[in-house]
Amino acid sequence: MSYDPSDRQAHLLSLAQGFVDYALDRGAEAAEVSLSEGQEFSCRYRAETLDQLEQAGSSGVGLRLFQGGRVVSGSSSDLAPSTVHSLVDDLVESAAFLDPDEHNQLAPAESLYSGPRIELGLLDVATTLEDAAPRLERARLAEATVRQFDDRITATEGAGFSAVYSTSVTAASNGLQRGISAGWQSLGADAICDDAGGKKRNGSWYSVSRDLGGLMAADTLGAIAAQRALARLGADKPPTGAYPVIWDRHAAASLLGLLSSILTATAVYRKQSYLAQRQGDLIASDCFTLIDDPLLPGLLGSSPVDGEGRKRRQNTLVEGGVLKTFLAAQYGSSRTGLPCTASASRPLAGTPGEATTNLYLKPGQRSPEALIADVEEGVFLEGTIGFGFNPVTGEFSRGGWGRMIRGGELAEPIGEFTVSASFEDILKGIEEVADDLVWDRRTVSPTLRVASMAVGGRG
Amino acid sequence: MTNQVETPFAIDDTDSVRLLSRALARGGDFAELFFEHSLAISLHFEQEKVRNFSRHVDAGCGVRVVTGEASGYAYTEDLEVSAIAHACDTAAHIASGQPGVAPQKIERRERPDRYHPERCLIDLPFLERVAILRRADAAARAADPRVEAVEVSLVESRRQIRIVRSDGEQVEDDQPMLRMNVLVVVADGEKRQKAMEGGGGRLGLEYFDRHQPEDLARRAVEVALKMLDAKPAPAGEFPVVLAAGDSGVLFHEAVGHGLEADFNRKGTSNYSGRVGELVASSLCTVVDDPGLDTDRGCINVDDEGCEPQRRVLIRNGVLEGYMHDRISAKAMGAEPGSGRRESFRSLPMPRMSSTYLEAGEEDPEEILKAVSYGIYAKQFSGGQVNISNGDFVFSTTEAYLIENGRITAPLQGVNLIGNGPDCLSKVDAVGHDFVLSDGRWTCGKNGQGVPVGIGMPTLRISAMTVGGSEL
Repeated sequence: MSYDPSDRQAHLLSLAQGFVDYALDRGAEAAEVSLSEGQEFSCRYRAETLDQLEQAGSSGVGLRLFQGGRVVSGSSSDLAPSTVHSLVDDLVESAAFLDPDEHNQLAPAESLYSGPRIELGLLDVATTLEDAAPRLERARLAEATVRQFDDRITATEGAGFSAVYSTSVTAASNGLQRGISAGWQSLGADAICDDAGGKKRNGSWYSVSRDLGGLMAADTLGAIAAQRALARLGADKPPTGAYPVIWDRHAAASLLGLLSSILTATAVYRKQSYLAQRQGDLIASDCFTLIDDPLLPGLLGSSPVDGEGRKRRQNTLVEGGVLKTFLAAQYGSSRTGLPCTASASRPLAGTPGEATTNLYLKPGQRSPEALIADVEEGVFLEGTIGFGFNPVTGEFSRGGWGRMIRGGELAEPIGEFTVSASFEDILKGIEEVADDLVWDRRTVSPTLRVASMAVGGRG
Repeated sequence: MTNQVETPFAIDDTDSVRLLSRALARGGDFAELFFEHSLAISLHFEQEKVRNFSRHVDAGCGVRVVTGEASGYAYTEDLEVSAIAHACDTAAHIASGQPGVAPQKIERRERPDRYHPERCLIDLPFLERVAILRRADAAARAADPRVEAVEVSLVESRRQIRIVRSDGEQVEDDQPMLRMNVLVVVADGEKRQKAMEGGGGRLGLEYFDRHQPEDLARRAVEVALKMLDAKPAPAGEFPVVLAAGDSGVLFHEAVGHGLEADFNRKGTSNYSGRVGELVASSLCTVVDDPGLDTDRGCINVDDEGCEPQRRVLIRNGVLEGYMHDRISAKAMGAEPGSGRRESFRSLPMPRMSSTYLEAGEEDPEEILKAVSYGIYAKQFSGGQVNISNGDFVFSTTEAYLIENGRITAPLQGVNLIGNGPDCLSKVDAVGHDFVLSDGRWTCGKNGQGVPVGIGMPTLRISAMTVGGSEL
């Protein structure tokens, strides 16, 4: 089946414009309509057999209607005009019960991008045409590799491949006509081995990419998953204490994700950011420079135009430890007075908030091994579990797993411990950022070392 | 028991039979059509204004074909017969043999009737809802001058489902849900704190006949103010006393997920193959019960069209069994009834309904008195578990120090970490004060969220790792 993104965008835009016109006709002062459609394929192998096979196409419409500073929104999975029209009618009627809020505005027409199309390689059309057979083979091979890797691997949740591609458009009465088509595929595998005391140890790995060439080979990926499970054998709690903590690049990326969530205008007006009002302050160590760059081609978070139609741009959130920028979309910007950063993220229905695109921490000069070599006794943190982060106070406390560092080298595996500190202390305690930046997720970080954190374990 | 409800699905029995034979055209043990129509409305009140109203309609049909333990799945948002037929052809690809057995005719199955919302969704004027939000907001602001921000939201939904199966059974359900949420931020000089309160269940606005919006708001302010002065929690292993009610998140994470039978048929859970073994202190009896009328986790029928089962998971510390969907029930010789899914876009899998620890015999005051130095935890932001090694965490939003048997200083949010069977073997006291949480929890698994209930009495764990920052 062939897929022509520009053709689909044009078709959906004309439908969306029709709904905008209908809403204006029914009395809305301004209206915005988003339509999306997508195709997804996923398969999973387990115990050498095809365990799951899913395939579907989906669609949805979201709308936002404005009347006297009031905004109502809605969504429907059914794009039939009769359904959407009746949704519009219901919404127009409900607007009267809301309070006016002068910040409810579409982006000013002059802020909309109207230049030539910016090509960032978000959809590899070849991948949308791929047959099922090579897709199934990737999952099969990854699972087989896991099983055959080592006798100690006793079970697996399986290995799965999925491919998703979608087109979404937005039309609005301010003249906005925006269309984006994007796709990605992912391959993941997991491995489980039995440990002493009835415990099982698991390890997993996945690869995600916009083009087929960027996807990790299935056998390589299966081997990594298996190695990660085996590396957990014998994990024990570390003794309670204060340790230097080296966050591996994925654990560190989760830290950046939390930080970026409170560097938004929405968090500021909701009083949900301990960093509100601290622009210009030193909030992290001087090796900490955090950048959001939507315009890097072909990456998972890349996007030419934001959810409200502004041309995207690079934003430096923190530079040399100094807080520079809060991400702000139209509503949050108007509400807080923070300048717009073209970071609007559009839910299908509702007011766009802010989201990062390709968020990364600027890499340093030395390898992760060099950072580890400097630590006599410490914790190498490979992942965290739980939700222990309070954006209002900046307290951070989560479960962790990883390895001890002894004499400058990775030592025994550890788990079932907690890592805690205030975010202020974590960010200011970053002594060094390593050089291992890899664009394998939307948010990426090099390995980094925090001078000291409280680790709760044994005793 | 009651008969069928009126649902918006225009597929008749003849079509259903034809579609199911088509799904089984290449073989398979069984197939099913899962029709869903859901409507949700939400009102959001923030900083003294009703700022947003939204309305969401979602409808479609999911088709599943099962052969052995393997599933083929497809769905469509188009409820025309031709679109569903196409989904049947796609799902059929999991099998590759002789046609499977399609039903001759469709029989309606009886089901229990556990929720009957009186004032639901569109039947009511908005003004009543707006008044509820305003009452909560006003109460929060009046409670203390240090209140800096208040957000109140009210979400109501109605999910109508019909499951038609290749064994000829058809069952329908009409599932209401209401959820109210109050978030407050308080400020005192440089110090700030937030707190959230919420409640709801499978009912309509009559929820507010028994629950005052003001109470939720005042309680949120009270907790936020207490936690404004919270000090860092200690780090290390300490006795932990969990308050009755929402602490049930402990059993949801430490036991519940690990006993979902998909993990056990695959041998990936740390509870796999351990039926009959002691996996908790003998004080623990843990139940998953879909039959608690109007509770958030309550269901009349599961999402595979099976009768939901009340299951004793652990009795006096001994593992009795797992929670099953149809695939695991067949593979392991058990009763299905715990198959749930987020929507027609998702495959069902074994999930919890309302999971709780049964009451014990001790006086909650006495449970506290026996602790010379430890942690008292009352409210949580959430939990997570690693199914395979059994490590689980849950994060407090309201916790206090226990000193010499008395609750003393409020503690900053802290992560508690334990390992399922190890932690539960250290339960050394269970109170008689059972409390069911007031409908605020959503469980996530493989990217699918479903509403669940939790509950428990006051309980003490002799030692658990507390993730404070004070050494």
